[in-house]
Amino acid sequence: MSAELSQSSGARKRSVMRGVGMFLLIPAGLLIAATPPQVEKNIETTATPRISISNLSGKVIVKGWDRSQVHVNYTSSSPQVTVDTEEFPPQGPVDKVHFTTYIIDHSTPGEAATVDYTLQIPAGSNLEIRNPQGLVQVESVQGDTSVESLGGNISVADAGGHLAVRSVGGNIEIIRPSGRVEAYSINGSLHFVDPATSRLHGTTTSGNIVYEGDFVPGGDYILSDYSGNMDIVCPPTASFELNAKTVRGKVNNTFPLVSRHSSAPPISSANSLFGTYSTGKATLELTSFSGTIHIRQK
Amino acid sequence: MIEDQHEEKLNPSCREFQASLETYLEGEGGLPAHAGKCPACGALFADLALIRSAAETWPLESPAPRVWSNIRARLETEGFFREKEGFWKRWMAPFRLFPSAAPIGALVFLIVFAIFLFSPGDLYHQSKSGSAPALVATSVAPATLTVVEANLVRTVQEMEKSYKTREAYLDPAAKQTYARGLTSLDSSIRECLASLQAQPQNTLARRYLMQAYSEKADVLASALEYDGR
Repeated sequence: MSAELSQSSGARKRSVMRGVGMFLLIPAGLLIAATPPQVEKNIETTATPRISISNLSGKVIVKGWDRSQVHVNYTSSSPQVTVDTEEFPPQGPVDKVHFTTYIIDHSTPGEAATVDYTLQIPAGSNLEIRNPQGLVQVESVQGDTSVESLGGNISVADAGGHLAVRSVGGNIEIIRPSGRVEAYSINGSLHFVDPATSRLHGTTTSGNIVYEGDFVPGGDYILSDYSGNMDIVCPPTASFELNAKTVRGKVNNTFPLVSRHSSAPPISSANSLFGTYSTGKATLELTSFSGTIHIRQK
Repeated sequence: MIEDQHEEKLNPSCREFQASLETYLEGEGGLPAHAGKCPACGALFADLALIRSAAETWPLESPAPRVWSNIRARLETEGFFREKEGFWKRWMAPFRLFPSAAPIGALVFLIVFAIFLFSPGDLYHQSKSGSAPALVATSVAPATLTVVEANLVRTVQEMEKSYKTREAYLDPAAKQTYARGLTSLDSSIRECLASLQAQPQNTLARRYLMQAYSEKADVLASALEYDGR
């Protein structure tokens, strides 16, 4: 009798456990089904491949590393959005890799067409990114880099090659670049931190420009904004020739400038300032239509 | 077999019927009387009509993304269309006719730049002579420009017209970003023109004006080519 009771109680326990198990499995299954598709892959490359990413919306984060390999990880927000990877040549170490985001079903709303990319690429890569809506971060790429965005913010750190960055509405931040820099935005702001480049050109229409750092001797720095303000913060050891002009704005300078050809005071008017600080090794050309240009010591 | 014989013996009404088949199949006009009289043409018409109605029930399948990219790559290599180019590249396209465009381009640039530097820059007075078209887009008092500048302004105006027709089809986020950018640039253009009217010799204001037009052209080109990326 007691044996029967014990058997029956054991069966009930197993049945309850099964029920609980099923109860837990259903939400787990739903959770897995709801998890966005994620893909991770490694591609063997040459040391200096050309890599392009053409996304629609989402984050693109790229870091250079010392391996001849691309490691990519991307997450798509919807099964209706996919990534096509093309590798050239098809056999052996790859010299070109294109990642392109596609919408499979064109009825998918634009905001659902999001793919987040994270890549590690060979440091010597030449990189091209198009990501209209979403953040782009690039770090430690020594080849040429081009980034285009429509409304997303762009941050590039430690770029070694020619850097061309464009955005209509996004802010652009460039940290420690050592190659030629060109940065353009219409409504976004530009922020340059510790540039080690001798050629820098930055333009924005309604954004602000901040330049923090020194100038390379012999370097040319051309910064232009329209209605935003410009803030140049450099160390007292800097050496530059200044040409600052505005149409309706102002120029505020805290460096003791002299005229280039004599010890006469610098040429100055309400809207312009021309002069040399220290030995004038770098050339600094700053223009603004109606904003204020500040040049000050760190 | 019947078709082969029919091909050989095509009479003028059969030829006329076959030449107009596409129109009939598109549903423009009723079944032509000839299809009822000529068994071969009638059979051909019936077959094509059956294929057409069956095709309407087939599901629309999208090819794999790779297929599109291969088609695109092939079209690019065959020169049917080019990669997205910057505004200036497209604008200067006619000058590519020259075998060695770089020195000629540099020379043209120098001439234009010299004219720009040494011309009086009095937009208002030049407008009176009527040597170049007036700026319409900004609804500011008439002003004229050098030929190169006037071409740029005209191009921007044309692009703006195209953009207006396309604007409604842009996704809301893109549309908003483009609209904000264009508003800023239009405001710059208006202010620059006002400055130039007050100070016609102000070369910096003139430079900003042309820069604003050039950037506006770039933004419009980007918007016109925008396909989600």
